Amino acid sequence: MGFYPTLLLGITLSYDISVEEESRLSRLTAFVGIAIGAVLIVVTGIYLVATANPSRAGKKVIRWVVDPNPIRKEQIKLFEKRHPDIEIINDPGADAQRLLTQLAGDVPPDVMALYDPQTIRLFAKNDVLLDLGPYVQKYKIPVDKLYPSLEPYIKYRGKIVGIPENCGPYVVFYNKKLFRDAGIPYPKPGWTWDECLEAAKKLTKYRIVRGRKIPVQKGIFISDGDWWFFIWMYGGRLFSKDGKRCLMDSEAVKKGIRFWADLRLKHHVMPTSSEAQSMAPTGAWGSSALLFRESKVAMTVSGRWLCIQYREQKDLDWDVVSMPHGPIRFTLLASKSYSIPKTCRNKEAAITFIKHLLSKENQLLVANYGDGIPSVQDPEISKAFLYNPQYPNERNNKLHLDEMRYARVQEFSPYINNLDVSAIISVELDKMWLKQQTPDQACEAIAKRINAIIRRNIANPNFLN
Amino acid sequence: MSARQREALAAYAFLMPNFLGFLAFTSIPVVISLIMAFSHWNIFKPPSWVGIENFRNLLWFHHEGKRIVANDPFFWQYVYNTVYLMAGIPIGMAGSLLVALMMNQKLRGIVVFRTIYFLPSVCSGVALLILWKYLYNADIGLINKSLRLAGGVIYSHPAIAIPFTIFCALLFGVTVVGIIAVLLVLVQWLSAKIGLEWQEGAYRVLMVIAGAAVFISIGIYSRYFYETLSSFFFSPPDWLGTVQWAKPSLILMGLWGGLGGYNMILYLAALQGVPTSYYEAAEIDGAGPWAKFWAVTWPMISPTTFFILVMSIIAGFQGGFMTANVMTGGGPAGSTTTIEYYLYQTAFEKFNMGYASAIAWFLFAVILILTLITWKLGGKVVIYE
Amino acid sequence: MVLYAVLTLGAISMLVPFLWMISTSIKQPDEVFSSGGGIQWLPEHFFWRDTVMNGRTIRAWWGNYPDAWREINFFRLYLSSIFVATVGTFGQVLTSSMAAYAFARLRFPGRDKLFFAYLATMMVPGSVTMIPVFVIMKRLGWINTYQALIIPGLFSAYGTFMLRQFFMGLPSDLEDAAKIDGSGYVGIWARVILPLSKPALATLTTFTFMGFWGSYMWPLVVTITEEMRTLPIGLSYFVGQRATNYTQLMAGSVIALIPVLVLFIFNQRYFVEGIKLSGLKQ
Repeated sequence: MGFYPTLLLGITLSYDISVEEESRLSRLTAFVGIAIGAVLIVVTGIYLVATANPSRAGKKVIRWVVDPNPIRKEQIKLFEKRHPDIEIINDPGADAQRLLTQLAGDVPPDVMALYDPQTIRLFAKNDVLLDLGPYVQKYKIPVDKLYPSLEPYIKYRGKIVGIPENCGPYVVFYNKKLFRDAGIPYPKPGWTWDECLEAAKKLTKYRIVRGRKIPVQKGIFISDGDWWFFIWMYGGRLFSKDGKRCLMDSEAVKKGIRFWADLRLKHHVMPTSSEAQSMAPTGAWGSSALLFRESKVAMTVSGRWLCIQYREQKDLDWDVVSMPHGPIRFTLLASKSYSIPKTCRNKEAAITFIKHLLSKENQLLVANYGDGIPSVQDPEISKAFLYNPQYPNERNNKLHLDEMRYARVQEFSPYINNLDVSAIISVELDKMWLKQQTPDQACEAIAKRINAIIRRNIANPNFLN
Repeated sequence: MSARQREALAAYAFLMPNFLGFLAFTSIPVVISLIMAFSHWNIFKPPSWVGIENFRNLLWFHHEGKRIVANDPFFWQYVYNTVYLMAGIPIGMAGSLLVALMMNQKLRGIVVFRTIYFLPSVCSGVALLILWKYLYNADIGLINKSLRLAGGVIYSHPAIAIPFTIFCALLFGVTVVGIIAVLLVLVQWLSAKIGLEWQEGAYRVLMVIAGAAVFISIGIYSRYFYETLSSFFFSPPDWLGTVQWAKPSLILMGLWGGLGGYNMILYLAALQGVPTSYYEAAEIDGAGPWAKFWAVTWPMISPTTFFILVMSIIAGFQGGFMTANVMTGGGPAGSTTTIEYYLYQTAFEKFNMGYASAIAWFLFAVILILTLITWKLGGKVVIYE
Repeated sequence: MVLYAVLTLGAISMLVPFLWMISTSIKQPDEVFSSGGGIQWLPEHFFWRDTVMNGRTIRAWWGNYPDAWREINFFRLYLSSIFVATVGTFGQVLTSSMAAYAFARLRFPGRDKLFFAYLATMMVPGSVTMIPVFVIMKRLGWINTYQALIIPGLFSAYGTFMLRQFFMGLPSDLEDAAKIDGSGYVGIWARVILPLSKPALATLTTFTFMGFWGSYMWPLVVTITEEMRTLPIGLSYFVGQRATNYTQLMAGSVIALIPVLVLFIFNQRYFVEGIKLSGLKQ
């Protein structure tokens, strides 16, 4: 009908009315302005659409969904040099919502990064990930050379669903200068918690300001989320072997949590969160690394990746040592996996890429950047990793390799989602830190709540997906 | 064709472009999500119908031994958090209205002010959160530093301390009485709606009783009041680190951001729609600024007020995600985690889309009920020409 | 006078975040969070060109801007965002004002029920509707195209609701006069309602533009190649898993907020247009 053309006419006419009080000149300039604007937009649109798909003739393109670390560009360059017929897009959107929506809508990435074993398990259980088993022989992917402790990141029910390119056993970073100033000898690998506590006490200093005791330096910093060290400290476990019970209220675990609580609340060698904030204000994405960088904390616990930040601090004299141990020696292992969705459109190219990630050059590229250690147990790679000429004062790379002997991946149970576990533990431990309950009470509350959820999930498997 | 039919046809024509999009991109997905709320769907396998099981698991309770325990161990805390965080809505609306009134004056350079006040809405959200985190820091944050400074000055001499405490006590008392007054007005108006009219002077009597009660109790507890106040100044609380203060701190932050933001602009636009002739008429009748506001401004902008209220309710229930994620990490002991975060986790990290849809539709039901209440109650107040 | 004082006080607090963003964008990376308490407002070294000091290269103070620009292909991101936001805003304001007029002033069967349905859809959180919309996009073949970025945003219950409220608050005298003059519905809409609603339209334009401009999740979900990305996605590039590049992030954010600010300033004079009752004889 004539409705819509009339509408368009009406729009232009309405403009006519609204400026009827202004001079003819300004009306003209306004008209011209709008016309130019419209033309510009149309031209922009045409340009954008025309250049939206640069021709990639003859090349297979695969999409690599992973965080946008500066090293990714190097990795892509390295791969494309070797395989000129494949082009890789670094897609930084690993957000859970995006990943899931795209997978659900059948627009899968070709290679995606998954950051914890339970997510991998969840995807694998729902048959989303490609089983690389049949391709291992054909493409000669050195899966058997990966560290055995990385298995939760690699296998699910015998199928190979993920390939980690790096991993990081947790170690202690310590500030050599602060140790020297306090007259304490440097810690040696294999040292105990008692030795560590002694050193931390000597490394904690205060200053009196207007009658208030303000911390200037603290001995050690362990993130609130690293409860695994203390759960396992005296031989305890979070879950029973079959995953059906939570053992948080066992005496061994309680002892470990008590020790942790004392570090902060009794010995005061670990800063509270507000003390940490005041010594070195952290940004929105809590860079607890800042405390160590500013030499406000003498020791900190993390995987090797924080060395990336510490290297930036030129006046920081740091080194690494193993995690202090109690009756048993162990440390936490963190990693991430690259997986290929089953519905991937470019399987061969993707598998070629994944295989390349385990190659010597790529492994060394990532490891030298500082993001963990190579995941491939190869004497050649290990030897090359030991000494990085770019950072000559990092002489202790061997320690990270040695620690793999004791490294364990975090526990999880098939009967409860990791997110629920984290939510419960962090809330109850928060109450403990706020002194609203004792460590023992926190452990009992955690066990009770987790067991209740496990019972519910066993009765109604719909919750487990 | 009758005039009525022509009008309807024209209406359809006007509506058509918008409606087509609404149908395709809004209503169909919404209907699908409704169906999902009654299904079990983990995104990768086809959904299966489970009836109201999702809602029962979310909202209902069961026996555990002798006690009654909620089916979902996390949900109700998040609901409490979300509702608590919405407490600032009325204050926020009043604040934006106030600022809009100020911005409406024909002062020189008012354009500069408007732009500056709007800046926080334009700034990167991350930057704002980082800054507020700084501000709220217990040791080095500006707020606590100023409080300690003020405390040092005030409490060093009893000559200053005592009058100051009295002043604070009066302020506190007046605020409490004010709140009671507003509540009583509300109750009176509501009961009038139901049909219960109050006795003449009943309101005044109640107010006097309330006022006396408040001030007498302040007097009795004056020493306690003094001590609390001085310790507040000497060792101000850790705003984001304690369970009691975390949410109020977030509310304060939201209020500040809202002062110059969207709601203010909406009110500003609405104020333009009030014809000056109405004001002139009121002045002729001898009305002062207060009366002019209530008689002319308030009714004329009531459609906008209704809009802002409904949108604030919707946003309030669906919000808090960024703050929890980036600034507080869910807050001390889970006290700043909101429903939206739980929904996100359930849908995309636990792959439980059916359950997440149930949460979404529960939210929908709550918002719907609140909106209906607002619509019906405000029916007399919202005036359309 | 008092008003000025009060306003100025508030204005100072409103300026702080903006100033912090600029201040961060001209610092070196290790000066962003200083220890000891307090925000370090000025960078330690203010060089106009890169200088080498103590073996370290200190970038020029304006260095973060070109660095950020190059790092994420800013030009294309900017262009994309401007295109999407402009077309989307124009479309949304147009369709919303048309629909709002129908809801506000025209009578037709099912009007209030339909309006309520519009309202109701806003009450459903967007997270759960995202997958169905995505699947619709996929079926239409619109993934990774500009249609997917613009078209779903063209229909907004928010805009319709807001304009309806505003239209309903307008005095109906002018419309009646126009009707008596024999104007059709389109004429009333174009010649009476729209000019009177300039504040509301300006407001909706600003809000819608900001919505498109800052939209992160939907463009992220719907695009898969670098060329199609919009600005917020580009800025998220500076947030890595191991460390965040605050200086370049802030530089990028400052560059990114310029169009919105310009639009807002430009719209200022429309925010405060009073009702011109010039056509009405009282």
